[in-house]
Amino acid sequence: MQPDRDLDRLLSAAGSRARLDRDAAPDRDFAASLRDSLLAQLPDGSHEPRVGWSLGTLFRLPRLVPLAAAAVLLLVSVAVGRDLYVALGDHPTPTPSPSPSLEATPTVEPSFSAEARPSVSFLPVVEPTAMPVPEPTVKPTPKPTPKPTPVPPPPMAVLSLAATGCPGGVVLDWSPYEGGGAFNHYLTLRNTSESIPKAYPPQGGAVDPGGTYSANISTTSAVDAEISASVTYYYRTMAFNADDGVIGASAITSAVASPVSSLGTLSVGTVAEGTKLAWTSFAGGDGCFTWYKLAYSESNPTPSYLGGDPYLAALGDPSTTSYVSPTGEALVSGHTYYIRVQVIRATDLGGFLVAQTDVATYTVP
Amino acid sequence: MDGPDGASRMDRDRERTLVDRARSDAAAFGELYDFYLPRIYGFVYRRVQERSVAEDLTAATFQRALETLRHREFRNDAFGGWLYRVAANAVVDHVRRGSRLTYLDGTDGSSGDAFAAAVEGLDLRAALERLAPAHRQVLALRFYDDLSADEASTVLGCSRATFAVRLHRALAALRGAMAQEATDAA
Repeated sequence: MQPDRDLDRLLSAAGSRARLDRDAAPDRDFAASLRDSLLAQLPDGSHEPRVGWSLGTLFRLPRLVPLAAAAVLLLVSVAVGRDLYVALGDHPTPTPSPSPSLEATPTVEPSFSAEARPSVSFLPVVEPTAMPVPEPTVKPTPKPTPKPTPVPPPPMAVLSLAATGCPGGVVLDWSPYEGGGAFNHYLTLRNTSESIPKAYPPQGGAVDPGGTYSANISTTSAVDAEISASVTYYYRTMAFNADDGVIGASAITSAVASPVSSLGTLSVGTVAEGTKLAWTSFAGGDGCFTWYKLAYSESNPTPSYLGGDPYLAALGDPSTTSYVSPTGEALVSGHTYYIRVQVIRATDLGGFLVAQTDVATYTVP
Repeated sequence: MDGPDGASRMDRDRERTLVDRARSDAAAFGELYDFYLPRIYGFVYRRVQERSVAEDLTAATFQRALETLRHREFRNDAFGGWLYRVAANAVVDHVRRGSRLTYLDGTDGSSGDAFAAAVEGLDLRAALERLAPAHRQVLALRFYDDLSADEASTVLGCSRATFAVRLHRALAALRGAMAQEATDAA
Protein backbone atom coordinates (compact mmCIF):
# COMPACT_ATOMS: atom_id res chain seq x y z
CA MET A 1 0.00 0.00 0.00
CA GLN A 2 3.00 2.32 0.28
CA PRO A 3 2.84 3.27 -3.42
CA ASP A 4 -0.74 4.44 -2.91
CA ARG A 5 0.36 6.71 -0.06
CA ASP A 6 3.14 8.13 -2.21
CA LEU A 7 0.66 8.79 -4.95
CA ASP A 8 -1.70 10.36 -2.40
CA ARG A 9 1.00 12.84 -1.45
CA LEU A 10 1.91 13.51 -5.05
CA LEU A 11 -1.68 14.12 -6.07
CA SER A 12 -2.45 16.23 -3.00
CA ALA A 13 0.53 18.45 -3.75
CA ALA A 14 -0.53 18.74 -7.38
CA GLY A 15 -4.09 19.57 -6.35
CA SER A 16 -2.90 22.25 -3.94
CA ARG A 17 -0.83 23.89 -6.65
CA ALA A 18 -3.70 23.72 -9.12
CA ARG A 19 -6.12 25.32 -6.64
CA LEU A 20 -3.91 28.35 -6.19
CA ASP A 21 -5.59 29.98 -9.16
CA ARG A 22 -6.66 33.34 -7.68
CA ASP A 23 -9.70 33.49 -9.93
CA ALA A 24 -11.17 30.52 -8.11
CA ALA A 25 -12.04 32.81 -5.17
CA PRO A 26 -15.46 34.46 -5.29
CA ASP A 27 -15.66 38.19 -5.78
CA ARG A 28 -16.42 40.00 -2.50
CA ASP A 29 -19.29 42.05 -3.90
CA PHE A 30 -20.85 38.94 -5.38
CA ALA A 31 -20.48 37.05 -2.11
CA ALA A 32 -22.03 39.88 -0.10
CA SER A 33 -24.90 40.51 -2.53
CA LEU A 34 -25.80 36.84 -2.74
CA ARG A 35 -25.60 36.47 1.03
CA ASP A 36 -27.94 39.39 1.60
CA SER A 37 -30.34 38.13 -1.05
CA LEU A 38 -30.48 34.63 0.44
CA LEU A 39 -30.75 35.62 4.08
CA ALA A 40 -33.49 38.12 3.32
CA GLN A 41 -35.65 35.20 2.19
CA LEU A 42 -35.62 33.50 5.58
CA PRO A 43 -38.41 34.25 8.06
CA ASP A 44 -36.13 36.19 10.36
CA GLY A 45 -34.48 38.03 7.55
CA SER A 46 -33.53 40.82 9.88
CA HIS A 47 -29.99 39.52 9.93
CA GLU A 48 -27.21 41.77 11.05
CA PRO A 49 -25.05 43.02 8.24
CA ARG A 50 -21.56 41.58 8.47
CA VAL A 51 -19.95 45.00 8.43
CA GLY A 52 -21.89 47.51 10.43
CA TRP A 53 -21.22 50.79 12.14
CA SER A 54 -22.67 51.48 15.54
CA LEU A 55 -21.62 53.59 18.50
CA GLY A 56 -20.22 50.50 20.19
CA THR A 57 -18.28 49.56 17.11
CA LEU A 58 -16.98 53.09 16.84
CA PHE A 59 -15.54 53.12 20.31
CA ARG A 60 -14.15 49.61 20.04
CA LEU A 61 -11.91 50.75 17.27
CA PRO A 62 -8.48 51.35 18.83
CA ARG A 63 -7.57 54.13 16.48
CA LEU A 64 -10.49 56.22 17.74
CA VAL A 65 -9.85 55.74 21.45
CA PRO A 66 -7.37 58.64 21.81
CA LEU A 67 -9.79 60.95 20.04
CA ALA A 68 -12.64 59.91 22.33
CA ALA A 69 -10.45 60.38 25.40
CA ALA A 70 -9.39 63.84 24.25
CA ALA A 71 -12.99 64.81 23.73
CA VAL A 72 -13.94 63.72 27.25
CA LEU A 73 -10.98 65.55 28.79
CA LEU A 74 -11.85 68.66 26.87
CA LEU A 75 -15.43 68.65 28.03
CA VAL A 76 -14.41 68.06 31.64
CA SER A 77 -11.78 70.78 31.60
CA VAL A 78 -14.12 73.30 30.06
CA ALA A 79 -16.87 72.50 32.52
CA VAL A 80 -14.53 72.67 35.53
CA GLY A 81 -12.97 75.87 34.33
CA ARG A 82 -16.29 77.56 33.85
CA ASP A 83 -17.56 76.40 37.25
CA LEU A 84 -14.38 77.62 38.92
CA TYR A 85 -14.67 80.99 37.29
CA VAL A 86 -18.32 81.38 38.25
CA ALA A 87 -17.61 80.33 41.84
CA LEU A 88 -14.73 82.69 42.32
CA GLY A 89 -16.13 85.71 40.63
CA ASP A 90 -19.06 87.82 41.72
CA HIS A 91 -20.32 88.44 38.30
CA PRO A 92 -23.35 87.71 36.26
CA THR A 93 -23.85 84.35 34.73
CA PRO A 94 -22.44 84.43 31.30
CA THR A 95 -24.81 84.56 28.42
CA PRO A 96 -25.66 81.07 27.37
CA SER A 97 -23.95 80.08 24.21
CA PRO A 98 -23.05 76.83 22.56
CA SER A 99 -20.85 74.70 24.78
CA PRO A 100 -17.61 73.52 23.30
CA SER A 101 -17.70 69.96 22.16
CA LEU A 102 -16.67 67.78 19.29
CA GLU A 103 -19.93 68.67 17.67
CA ALA A 104 -19.24 72.37 17.90
CA THR A 105 -19.58 74.37 14.78
CA PRO A 106 -16.59 76.27 13.54
CA THR A 107 -17.95 79.54 15.04
CA VAL A 108 -18.26 78.29 18.60
CA GLU A 109 -17.00 80.65 21.27
CA PRO A 110 -16.18 79.75 24.84
CA SER A 111 -19.02 81.03 27.04
CA PHE A 112 -16.55 82.68 29.42
CA SER A 113 -14.55 84.69 26.99
CA ALA A 114 -12.79 87.84 28.20
CA GLU A 115 -15.28 90.01 26.41
CA ALA A 116 -18.18 88.57 28.34
CA ARG A 117 -16.62 88.98 31.76
CA PRO A 118 -17.06 92.00 34.00
CA SER A 119 -14.02 93.51 35.64
CA VAL A 120 -12.66 91.62 38.62
CA SER A 121 -11.12 93.99 41.16
CA PHE A 122 -11.18 92.11 44.41
CA LEU A 123 -9.39 89.08 43.21
CA PRO A 124 -6.55 90.44 41.19
CA VAL A 125 -4.70 87.16 41.13
CA VAL A 126 -7.39 85.60 39.08
CA GLU A 127 -6.58 86.76 35.67
CA PRO A 128 -8.57 85.75 32.69
CA THR A 129 -5.49 84.26 31.14
CA ALA A 130 -5.25 81.84 34.05
CA MET A 131 -8.58 80.28 33.17
CA PRO A 132 -8.49 76.92 31.46
CA VAL A 133 -9.39 78.16 28.05
CA PRO A 134 -9.68 75.33 25.59
CA GLU A 135 -8.83 77.51 22.65
CA PRO A 136 -5.21 76.51 22.22
CA THR A 137 -6.02 72.80 22.05
CA VAL A 138 -9.17 72.76 20.02
CA LYS A 139 -9.64 75.37 17.43
CA PRO A 140 -12.06 74.13 14.90
CA THR A 141 -11.19 75.32 11.48
CA PRO A 142 -14.13 76.53 9.53
CA LYS A 143 -14.71 74.24 6.63
CA PRO A 144 -16.85 75.13 3.72
CA THR A 145 -19.87 72.93 3.43
CA PRO A 146 -19.14 70.49 0.64
CA LYS A 147 -21.51 70.96 -2.19
CA PRO A 148 -22.61 67.61 -3.52
CA THR A 149 -21.97 67.27 -7.17
CA PRO A 150 -25.26 66.47 -8.81
CA VAL A 151 -25.09 62.92 -10.17
CA PRO A 152 -27.37 62.39 -13.12
CA PRO A 153 -29.53 59.30 -12.80
CA PRO A 154 -28.28 56.39 -14.89
CA PRO A 155 -29.97 56.08 -18.24
CA MET A 156 -32.91 53.70 -18.07
CA ALA A 157 -32.90 50.97 -20.70
CA VAL A 158 -35.99 49.00 -21.61
CA LEU A 159 -35.99 45.23 -21.13
CA SER A 160 -38.67 42.95 -22.52
CA LEU A 161 -39.97 40.25 -20.21
CA ALA A 162 -42.02 37.13 -20.93
CA ALA A 163 -43.50 35.17 -18.01
CA THR A 164 -44.76 31.67 -18.84
CA GLY A 165 -46.99 29.84 -16.39
CA CYS A 166 -46.21 26.10 -16.24
CA PRO A 167 -47.19 23.24 -13.99
CA GLY A 168 -45.11 23.84 -10.86
CA GLY A 169 -43.78 27.32 -11.57
CA VAL A 170 -43.23 30.30 -13.83
CA VAL A 171 -40.48 30.71 -16.44
CA LEU A 172 -39.07 34.22 -16.82
CA ASP A 173 -37.27 35.21 -20.03
CA TRP A 174 -36.03 38.72 -20.63
CA SER A 175 -33.95 40.55 -23.20
CA PRO A 176 -30.33 41.36 -22.34
CA TYR A 177 -29.38 44.79 -21.03
CA GLU A 178 -28.03 46.90 -23.88
CA GLY A 179 -27.93 50.34 -22.27
CA GLY A 180 -24.85 52.39 -21.62
CA GLY A 181 -24.79 52.01 -17.84
CA ALA A 182 -22.34 49.96 -15.80
CA PHE A 183 -24.22 46.67 -15.56
CA ASN A 184 -23.81 44.76 -12.32
CA HIS A 185 -26.69 42.29 -12.08
CA TYR A 186 -30.27 41.39 -12.95
CA LEU A 187 -33.04 40.83 -10.45
CA THR A 188 -36.73 40.14 -10.95
CA LEU A 189 -39.31 41.27 -8.40
CA ARG A 190 -42.79 39.86 -7.91
CA ASN A 191 -46.09 41.06 -6.55
CA THR A 192 -49.65 39.76 -6.35
CA SER A 193 -50.91 43.14 -7.54
CA GLU A 194 -49.89 45.05 -10.63
CA SER A 195 -47.49 47.34 -8.78
CA ILE A 196 -43.73 46.89 -8.79
CA PRO A 197 -41.78 50.15 -8.42
CA LYS A 198 -38.47 50.34 -10.26
CA ALA A 199 -36.38 50.27 -7.12
CA TYR A 200 -34.43 48.04 -4.76
CA PRO A 201 -35.07 47.12 -1.96
CA PRO A 202 -38.57 46.14 -3.12
CA GLN A 203 -41.34 48.63 -2.39
CA GLY A 204 -45.11 48.73 -2.50
CA GLY A 205 -45.67 45.10 -1.57
CA ALA A 206 -43.27 43.70 -4.17
CA VAL A 207 -40.88 40.95 -3.07
CA ASP A 208 -37.68 39.34 -4.26
CA PRO A 209 -38.83 35.79 -5.06
CA GLY A 210 -35.25 34.50 -4.91
CA GLY A 211 -33.32 32.72 -7.59
CA THR A 212 -33.36 35.48 -10.19
CA TYR A 213 -30.12 37.26 -9.24
CA SER A 214 -27.60 37.06 -12.05
CA ALA A 215 -24.28 38.84 -12.51
CA ASN A 216 -24.00 37.55 -16.05
CA ILE A 217 -25.34 40.01 -18.60
CA SER A 218 -26.09 37.18 -21.02
CA THR A 219 -28.02 35.07 -18.49
CA THR A 220 -31.55 36.14 -19.30
CA SER A 221 -33.86 33.47 -17.94
CA ALA A 222 -34.84 32.30 -14.51
CA VAL A 223 -37.68 30.51 -12.79
CA ASP A 224 -39.99 31.21 -9.91
CA ALA A 225 -41.08 28.04 -8.17
CA GLU A 226 -42.04 29.66 -4.88
CA ILE A 227 -45.64 30.22 -5.87
CA SER A 228 -49.14 28.89 -5.38
CA ALA A 229 -51.02 27.35 -8.30
CA SER A 230 -53.88 29.31 -9.88
CA VAL A 231 -52.75 32.64 -8.43
CA THR A 232 -51.88 35.53 -10.77
CA TYR A 233 -48.39 36.86 -10.14
CA TYR A 234 -46.88 40.02 -11.61
CA TYR A 235 -43.18 40.38 -12.45
CA ARG A 236 -40.73 43.09 -13.42
CA THR A 237 -37.12 42.36 -14.33
CA MET A 238 -34.56 45.08 -13.68
CA ALA A 239 -30.89 45.62 -14.43
CA PHE A 240 -28.85 47.29 -11.68
CA ASN A 241 -25.52 49.01 -11.34
CA ALA A 242 -23.19 48.26 -8.42
CA ASP A 243 -25.02 50.76 -6.20
CA ASP A 244 -28.38 49.05 -6.72
CA GLY A 245 -29.41 51.85 -9.03
CA VAL A 246 -31.88 50.73 -11.67
CA ILE A 247 -30.40 51.11 -15.14
CA GLY A 248 -32.91 48.99 -17.03
CA ALA A 249 -36.41 47.72 -16.41
CA SER A 250 -39.13 45.75 -18.11
CA ALA A 251 -42.82 46.40 -18.11
CA ILE A 252 -44.90 44.42 -15.60
CA THR A 253 -45.94 40.99 -16.89
CA SER A 254 -48.24 38.42 -15.30
CA ALA A 255 -48.41 34.63 -15.24
CA VAL A 256 -50.44 31.88 -13.59
CA ALA A 257 -48.96 28.49 -12.74
CA SER A 258 -50.81 25.17 -12.40
CA PRO A 259 -50.17 22.19 -10.11
CA VAL A 260 -47.37 19.73 -10.89
CA SER A 261 -48.58 17.19 -13.49
CA SER A 262 -48.55 13.42 -13.20
CA LEU A 263 -46.94 11.19 -15.82
CA GLY A 264 -48.62 8.12 -14.37
CA THR A 265 -46.88 4.85 -13.69
CA LEU A 266 -43.22 4.13 -14.41
CA SER A 267 -42.62 0.61 -15.65
CA VAL A 268 -39.23 -0.96 -14.95
CA GLY A 269 -37.97 -4.28 -16.29
CA THR A 270 -34.88 -6.18 -17.33
CA VAL A 271 -33.69 -6.40 -20.94
CA ALA A 272 -30.50 -7.88 -22.37
CA GLU A 273 -28.62 -4.58 -22.18
CA GLY A 274 -29.65 -3.67 -18.68
CA THR A 275 -32.64 -2.12 -16.88
CA LYS A 276 -35.34 -0.59 -19.05
CA LEU A 277 -37.59 2.26 -17.88
CA ALA A 278 -40.76 3.24 -19.77
CA TRP A 279 -43.23 6.09 -19.17
CA THR A 280 -45.87 8.27 -20.82
CA SER A 281 -44.50 11.30 -22.64
CA PHE A 282 -44.99 14.83 -21.32
CA ALA A 283 -47.64 16.73 -23.26
CA GLY A 284 -47.31 20.14 -21.68
CA GLY A 285 -45.42 21.93 -24.44
CA ASP A 286 -41.77 22.80 -25.07
CA GLY A 287 -41.95 26.02 -23.09
CA CYS A 288 -42.27 24.07 -19.85
CA PHE A 289 -39.84 21.26 -20.71
CA THR A 290 -36.07 21.07 -20.49
CA TRP A 291 -35.29 17.51 -19.38
CA TYR A 292 -36.55 14.20 -18.29
CA LYS A 293 -34.42 13.42 -15.26
CA LEU A 294 -34.39 9.76 -14.27
CA ALA A 295 -33.83 10.18 -10.54
CA TYR A 296 -32.99 7.21 -8.34
CA SER A 297 -31.92 6.42 -4.82
CA GLU A 298 -31.24 3.43 -2.63
CA SER A 299 -32.29 5.23 0.54
CA ASN A 300 -34.79 7.92 -0.42
CA PRO A 301 -38.24 6.46 -1.21
CA THR A 302 -39.16 9.68 -3.05
CA PRO A 303 -36.10 10.35 -5.22
CA SER A 304 -35.86 13.91 -6.43
CA TYR A 305 -33.43 15.48 -8.89
CA LEU A 306 -33.93 18.93 -7.38
CA GLY A 307 -33.50 17.43 -3.94
CA GLY A 308 -29.98 16.41 -4.94
CA ASP A 309 -30.50 12.71 -5.65
CA PRO A 310 -28.45 11.25 -8.51
CA TYR A 311 -30.04 10.39 -11.83
CA LEU A 312 -29.53 7.76 -14.48
CA ALA A 313 -29.89 10.11 -17.43
CA ALA A 314 -31.05 13.52 -18.60
CA LEU A 315 -33.07 13.31 -21.78
CA GLY A 316 -33.74 16.48 -23.74
CA ASP A 317 -36.39 15.21 -26.16
CA PRO A 318 -39.93 15.41 -24.76
CA SER A 319 -41.12 12.65 -27.12
CA THR A 320 -38.79 10.11 -25.46
CA THR A 321 -40.71 7.43 -23.56
CA SER A 322 -38.07 4.87 -22.59
CA TYR A 323 -34.46 4.47 -21.53
CA VAL A 324 -32.15 1.53 -20.87
CA SER A 325 -29.60 1.85 -18.09
CA PRO A 326 -26.67 -0.43 -18.98
CA THR A 327 -25.96 -3.12 -16.43
CA GLY A 328 -23.29 -2.12 -13.94
CA GLU A 329 -23.17 1.57 -14.85
CA ALA A 330 -25.29 2.93 -12.03
CA LEU A 331 -27.76 0.26 -10.99
CA VAL A 332 -25.95 -2.67 -9.42
CA SER A 333 -27.16 -6.26 -9.45
CA GLY A 334 -28.75 -7.34 -6.19
CA HIS A 335 -29.54 -3.81 -5.02
CA THR A 336 -33.02 -2.30 -4.65
CA TYR A 337 -33.70 1.20 -5.98
CA TYR A 338 -36.43 3.79 -5.84
CA ILE A 339 -36.76 5.29 -9.34
CA ARG A 340 -38.94 7.91 -10.96
CA VAL A 341 -38.94 10.06 -14.05
CA GLN A 342 -39.27 13.80 -13.52
CA VAL A 343 -39.85 16.59 -16.03
CA ILE A 344 -37.72 19.59 -15.10
CA ARG A 345 -37.87 23.09 -16.53
CA ALA A 346 -34.37 24.41 -16.00
CA THR A 347 -32.36 27.56 -16.53
CA ASP A 348 -28.88 28.44 -15.36
CA LEU A 349 -30.49 30.19 -12.41
CA GLY A 350 -32.46 27.17 -11.27
CA GLY A 351 -35.33 24.92 -12.23
CA PHE A 352 -38.57 23.48 -10.98
CA LEU A 353 -40.48 20.24 -11.12
CA VAL A 354 -43.11 20.21 -13.86
CA ALA A 355 -44.32 16.62 -13.89
CA GLN A 356 -43.32 13.20 -12.62
CA THR A 357 -44.21 9.54 -12.65
CA ASP A 358 -45.06 7.50 -9.61
CA VAL A 359 -42.08 5.99 -7.81
CA ALA A 360 -41.11 2.47 -8.93
CA THR A 361 -39.27 0.16 -6.55
CA TYR A 362 -37.00 -2.24 -8.39
CA THR A 363 -34.42 -4.84 -7.44
CA VAL A 364 -31.81 -5.41 -10.14
CA PRO A 365 -31.49 -9.17 -10.80
CA MET B 1 -5.05 20.57 4.27
CA ASP B 2 -6.88 23.77 4.92
CA GLY B 3 -9.54 25.17 2.71
CA PRO B 4 -10.19 28.77 1.76
CA ASP B 5 -11.31 29.78 5.24
CA GLY B 6 -9.11 27.76 7.51
CA ALA B 7 -10.56 24.38 8.50
CA SER B 8 -11.11 22.25 5.43
CA ARG B 9 -14.14 20.42 6.85
CA MET B 10 -16.95 21.64 9.01
CA ASP B 11 -17.43 19.70 12.22
CA ARG B 12 -20.23 17.23 11.58
CA ASP B 13 -22.12 17.97 14.77
CA ARG B 14 -21.83 21.70 14.18
CA GLU B 15 -23.05 21.24 10.63
CA ARG B 16 -26.07 19.20 11.73
CA THR B 17 -26.98 21.85 14.28
CA LEU B 18 -26.70 24.64 11.73
CA VAL B 19 -28.72 22.73 9.13
CA ASP B 20 -31.44 22.14 11.68
CA ARG B 21 -31.53 25.81 12.69
CA ALA B 22 -31.08 27.19 9.17
CA ARG B 23 -34.68 26.32 8.32
CA SER B 24 -35.77 29.40 10.17
CA ASP B 25 -32.60 31.11 11.36
CA ALA B 26 -30.85 33.46 8.98
CA ALA B 27 -27.69 33.53 11.11
CA ALA B 28 -27.35 29.74 10.95
CA PHE B 29 -27.80 29.71 7.20
CA GLY B 30 -25.34 32.58 6.98
CA GLU B 31 -22.70 30.52 8.78
CA LEU B 32 -23.21 27.60 6.40
CA TYR B 33 -23.05 30.03 3.48
CA ASP B 34 -19.86 31.68 4.71
CA PHE B 35 -18.16 28.30 5.13
CA TYR B 36 -19.27 26.69 1.89
CA LEU B 37 -19.41 29.66 -0.52
CA PRO B 38 -15.69 29.73 -1.39
CA ARG B 39 -15.62 25.95 -1.66
CA ILE B 40 -18.66 25.64 -3.90
CA TYR B 41 -17.61 28.62 -6.00
CA GLY B 42 -14.13 27.13 -6.47
CA PHE B 43 -15.63 23.71 -7.26
CA VAL B 44 -17.81 25.30 -9.96
CA TYR B 45 -15.20 27.72 -11.28
CA ARG B 46 -12.63 24.96 -11.79
CA ARG B 47 -15.12 23.31 -14.12
CA VAL B 48 -16.59 26.22 -16.08
CA GLN B 49 -13.57 28.58 -16.04
CA GLU B 50 -15.79 31.64 -16.42
CA ARG B 51 -16.45 33.99 -13.53
CA SER B 52 -19.96 35.13 -14.35
CA VAL B 53 -21.11 31.59 -15.13
CA ALA B 54 -19.54 30.33 -11.92
CA GLU B 55 -21.36 33.06 -9.99
CA ASP B 56 -24.71 32.15 -11.53
CA LEU B 57 -24.32 28.44 -10.89
CA THR B 58 -23.10 29.09 -7.35
CA ALA B 59 -26.07 31.37 -6.71
CA ALA B 60 -28.44 28.72 -8.08
CA THR B 61 -26.84 26.09 -5.84
CA PHE B 62 -27.29 28.13 -2.68
CA GLN B 63 -30.79 29.17 -3.70
CA ARG B 64 -31.63 25.47 -4.06
CA ALA B 65 -30.09 24.79 -0.66
CA LEU B 66 -32.13 27.55 0.92
CA GLU B 67 -35.39 26.34 -0.59
CA THR B 68 -34.71 22.73 0.35
CA LEU B 69 -33.87 23.61 3.94
CA ARG B 70 -36.76 26.02 4.26
CA HIS B 71 -39.27 23.43 3.12
CA ARG B 72 -37.75 20.75 5.34
CA GLU B 73 -37.03 18.56 2.34
CA PHE B 74 -33.42 17.94 3.29
CA ARG B 75 -32.96 14.34 4.39
CA ASN B 76 -29.30 13.75 3.68
CA ASP B 77 -27.01 13.51 6.68
CA ALA B 78 -24.10 15.21 4.93
CA PHE B 79 -25.03 18.75 3.94
CA GLY B 80 -21.65 19.53 2.40
CA GLY B 81 -21.65 16.50 0.12
CA TRP B 82 -25.24 17.20 -0.88
CA LEU B 83 -24.32 20.80 -1.71
CA TYR B 84 -21.45 19.62 -3.93
CA ARG B 85 -23.86 17.22 -5.60
CA VAL B 86 -26.32 20.03 -6.39
CA ALA B 87 -23.45 22.15 -7.72
CA ALA B 88 -22.20 19.25 -9.84
CA ASN B 89 -25.70 18.77 -11.26
CA ALA B 90 -25.85 22.49 -12.08
CA VAL B 91 -22.47 22.37 -13.84
CA VAL B 92 -23.35 19.32 -15.91
CA ASP B 93 -26.73 20.81 -16.82
CA HIS B 94 -25.02 24.03 -17.86
CA VAL B 95 -22.48 22.22 -20.01
CA ARG B 96 -25.05 19.95 -21.60
CA ARG B 97 -27.93 22.36 -21.99
CA GLY B 98 -27.00 23.41 -25.50
CA SER B 99 -26.62 19.91 -26.89
CA ARG B 100 -29.40 18.22 -24.90
CA LEU B 101 -27.51 14.94 -25.10
CA THR B 102 -28.21 11.81 -23.13
CA TYR B 103 -25.52 11.07 -20.62
CA LEU B 104 -25.03 8.69 -17.79
CA ASP B 105 -24.80 9.59 -14.18
CA GLY B 106 -21.32 10.49 -13.06
CA THR B 107 -19.86 11.36 -16.44
CA ASP B 108 -18.37 14.67 -15.47
CA GLY B 109 -15.32 14.55 -17.68
CA SER B 110 -14.57 18.23 -17.26
CA SER B 111 -13.35 17.93 -13.67
CA GLY B 112 -10.90 15.14 -14.39
CA ASP B 113 -9.72 16.85 -17.54
CA ALA B 114 -9.27 20.14 -15.71
CA PHE B 115 -7.24 18.41 -13.02
CA ALA B 116 -4.99 16.79 -15.60
CA ALA B 117 -4.57 20.10 -17.39
CA ALA B 118 -3.73 21.96 -14.18
CA VAL B 119 -1.12 19.51 -12.95
CA GLU B 120 2.37 20.82 -13.55
CA GLY B 121 4.44 17.65 -13.38
CA LEU B 122 4.69 16.36 -16.91
CA ASP B 123 4.90 12.68 -15.93
CA LEU B 124 1.89 12.91 -13.66
CA ARG B 125 -0.06 14.98 -16.14
CA ALA B 126 0.60 12.59 -18.99
CA ALA B 127 -0.32 9.64 -16.79
CA LEU B 128 -3.58 11.29 -15.72
CA GLU B 129 -4.46 11.92 -19.32
CA ARG B 130 -4.02 8.22 -20.05
CA LEU B 131 -6.69 7.27 -17.51
CA ALA B 132 -10.33 6.54 -18.22
CA PRO B 133 -12.58 9.57 -17.48
CA ALA B 134 -14.21 7.73 -14.56
CA HIS B 135 -10.80 7.25 -12.87
CA ARG B 136 -9.83 10.88 -13.49
CA GLN B 137 -13.12 12.02 -12.03
CA VAL B 138 -12.61 10.11 -8.78
CA LEU B 139 -9.06 11.44 -8.42
CA ALA B 140 -10.18 14.98 -9.20
CA LEU B 141 -12.92 14.95 -6.57
CA ARG B 142 -10.53 13.61 -3.95
CA PHE B 143 -7.34 15.54 -4.72
CA TYR B 144 -8.30 18.51 -6.89
CA ASP B 145 -11.52 19.47 -5.12
CA ASP B 146 -10.19 18.17 -1.80
CA LEU B 147 -13.52 16.55 -0.93
CA SER B 148 -13.83 14.10 1.93
CA ALA B 149 -14.86 10.52 1.19
CA ASP B 150 -18.37 11.32 2.41
CA GLU B 151 -18.65 14.37 0.17
CA ALA B 152 -17.19 12.68 -2.89
CA SER B 153 -19.40 9.60 -2.51
CA THR B 154 -22.45 11.87 -2.27
CA VAL B 155 -21.43 13.67 -5.44
CA LEU B 156 -21.08 10.34 -7.23
CA GLY B 157 -24.29 8.93 -5.77
CA CYS B 158 -22.56 5.89 -4.30
CA SER B 159 -21.76 4.60 -0.84
CA ARG B 160 -18.57 5.55 0.97
CA ALA B 161 -17.33 1.96 0.64
CA THR B 162 -17.93 2.01 -3.11
CA PHE B 163 -16.05 5.29 -3.37
CA ALA B 164 -13.11 3.80 -1.49
CA VAL B 165 -12.99 0.91 -3.95
CA ARG B 166 -13.21 3.27 -6.93
CA LEU B 167 -10.46 5.47 -5.50
CA HIS B 168 -8.21 2.47 -4.92
CA ARG B 169 -8.78 1.31 -8.50
CA ALA B 170 -8.11 4.79 -9.87
CA LEU B 171 -4.83 5.03 -7.94
CA ALA B 172 -3.82 1.61 -9.19
CA ALA B 173 -4.64 2.66 -12.74
CA LEU B 174 -2.63 5.86 -12.30
CA ARG B 175 0.34 3.92 -10.94
CA GLY B 176 0.15 1.69 -13.99
CA ALA B 177 -0.13 4.69 -16.31
CA MET B 178 2.93 6.30 -14.70
CA ALA B 179 4.92 3.10 -15.16
CA GLN B 180 3.82 3.02 -18.78
CA GLU B 181 4.88 6.66 -19.18
CA ALA B 182 8.34 5.80 -17.84
CA THR B 183 8.60 2.85 -20.21
CA ASP B 184 7.51 4.90 -23.20
CA ALA B 185 9.96 7.65 -22.33
CA ALA B 186 12.90 5.23 -22.06
